Amino acid sequence: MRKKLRVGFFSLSCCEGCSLVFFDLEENMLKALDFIEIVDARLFDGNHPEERLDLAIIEGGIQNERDKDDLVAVRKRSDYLIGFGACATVAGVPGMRNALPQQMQKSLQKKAIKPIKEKVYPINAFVKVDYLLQGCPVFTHELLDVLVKLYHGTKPKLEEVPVCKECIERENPCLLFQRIPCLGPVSYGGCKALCPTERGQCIACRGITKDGNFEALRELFRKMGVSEQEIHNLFTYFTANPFEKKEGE
Amino acid sequence: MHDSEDFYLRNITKVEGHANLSLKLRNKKVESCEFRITESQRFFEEIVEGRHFSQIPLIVARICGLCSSSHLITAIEAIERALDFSPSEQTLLLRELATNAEFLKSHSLHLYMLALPDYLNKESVLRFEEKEHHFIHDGLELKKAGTDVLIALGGRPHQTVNLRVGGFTRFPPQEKIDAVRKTLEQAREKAIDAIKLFSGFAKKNTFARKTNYVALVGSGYCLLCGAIKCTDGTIVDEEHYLDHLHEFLVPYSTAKQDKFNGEEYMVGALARMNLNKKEMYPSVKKLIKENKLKFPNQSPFYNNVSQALELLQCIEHSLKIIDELHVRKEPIPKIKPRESEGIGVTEAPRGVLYHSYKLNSRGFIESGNIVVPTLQNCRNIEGDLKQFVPTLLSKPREKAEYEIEKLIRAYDPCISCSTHFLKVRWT
Repeated sequence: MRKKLRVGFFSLSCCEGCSLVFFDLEENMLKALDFIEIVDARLFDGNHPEERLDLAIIEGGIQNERDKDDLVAVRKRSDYLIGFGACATVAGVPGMRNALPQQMQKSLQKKAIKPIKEKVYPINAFVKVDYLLQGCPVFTHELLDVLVKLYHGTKPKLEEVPVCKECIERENPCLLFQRIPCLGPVSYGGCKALCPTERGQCIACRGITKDGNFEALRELFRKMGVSEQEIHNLFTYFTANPFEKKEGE
Repeated sequence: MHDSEDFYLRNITKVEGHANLSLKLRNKKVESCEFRITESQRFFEEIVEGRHFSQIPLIVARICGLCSSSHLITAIEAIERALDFSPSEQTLLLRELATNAEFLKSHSLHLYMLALPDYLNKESVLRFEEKEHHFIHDGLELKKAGTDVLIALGGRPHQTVNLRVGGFTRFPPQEKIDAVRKTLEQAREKAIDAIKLFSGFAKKNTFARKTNYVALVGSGYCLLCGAIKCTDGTIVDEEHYLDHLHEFLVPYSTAKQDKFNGEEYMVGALARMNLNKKEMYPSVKKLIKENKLKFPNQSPFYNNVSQALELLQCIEHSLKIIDELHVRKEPIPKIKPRESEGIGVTEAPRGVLYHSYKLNSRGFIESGNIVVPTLQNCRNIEGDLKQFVPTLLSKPREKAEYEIEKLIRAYDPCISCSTHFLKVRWT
């Protein structure tokens, strides 16, 4: 039998909802514990910063120096590192701060009780990230899939499918035809188009596709009678920080 | 331990979010106690500014990973009040069902996965021995009853999709509702086991301290509406909460603290039991009696058994709602925006939750104010520790630290929730 995969769960600035998804594995959680060993996890177990890790699972974005330092320290002691959920992968809802008017961002920085960075960053702005598990929150089956693959020594591969493709496969009525501004055409799927299936617009929680045609979608929203302010709001939902690079770059 | 000790607990484990505790004991008395929340603020109140009301609930639901539906529904309630919109009876029932399911999910997770190891002298649930694994199965089964309801109603267990201002984007088919009825019925036995289990633990802790408790009261065991009642005798309308809540900054924490009528107080399961026990289902009251539990109770450790009692309460109430439901499709009506403000107050699993928003004439948010349960409890946690730590003098230091963490965890603090804001309320 192979050696158990040594795993750590870490939270930076976030709501910790993604880590809690581990408990959503329910009975599979106990099965997973047959082949993984959780060696460092503040939320489920204890702080063990001395442990070496095969896999570090990081949720949350970078808001402050401590987030960054913690992240860099974890990277140093783990072989494989994944971003876990929207905050880690695309800066998520906290990243909406990046879309506020410049002046307001500056004043937030001044007023913050504890010093914060100019922007909220996804983790790949500071360290090499081996894989991204997308979503707000992540799905249990995707987590399990990654754990199993890494245990067996294969690497998970990111599938880049837009939400629209999965939405069509589920034979959903298109929300755009119903004049509901939906970000499906420019957003990464893998979620099996959950939101549009429930008749809610896609809010791009899994990030924006590389070739997403924003301008065409913006034009379409305008034709649908969506106001400029609302268009701005939609494009800065989870996507306020899609292409953000390292500080000062 | 000695009569004088310095405690510094860093990154307290098995609570949601990052917090430290600094406590100085001098000559058997606590000289200072600082419950330091160290998370950065996530500025939710600023983020919502300038956004359309229809977007707000889905954004603020991201304040919390454990009680997203509570934030979602409270925000919806506030916005609907602002717009003077009354949702249909069916929508109200489904929201109530979602809230009860959220309690089930959140309480069972906390009780079995985070708090139980404290009582079994284990570092965590991951280190349970084979013979203790049945506890994990029980906890997961209770949690599943909650998550199954949320999946049926909202598409997934966290960050549900369907619940919106005005109603539901999509209604669950009746057969899905019938399926969750079965899971709920099966979970009933497990809830009874939970009550027995946590009753035993509660009675082992003799520490109690007089403090105030605040919860919603009205007809029934209110979670979504009612007046705000404090054990000091005050009853306040939802609209006037700001006249009694006083928020203030402390220099050592990124979260504000709260006082009610100038006094520290506790919110959450124990507060609800202390103020609302008479409104519970007969089956729950029977178990209170059988297990010889006394309410009102002033032991913070009773918060856990109160959560266990609420598991059964929520199962019974969910089943009652399901009996009344005959789901039919109702489109979300068009709601006309206007310049207005509205307040939503509900019980989240950890206590009273306040959301209020000011809207402009086009329906965009001018400002928002959110008061979450954990920051209301912070002051009370410190107050408890000041009296609790001197009772631990006969114990070794390590054991004392363990007991301190156990008390903090009994509150089920949700720390990342409490650091989302910056602004002192609007005037």
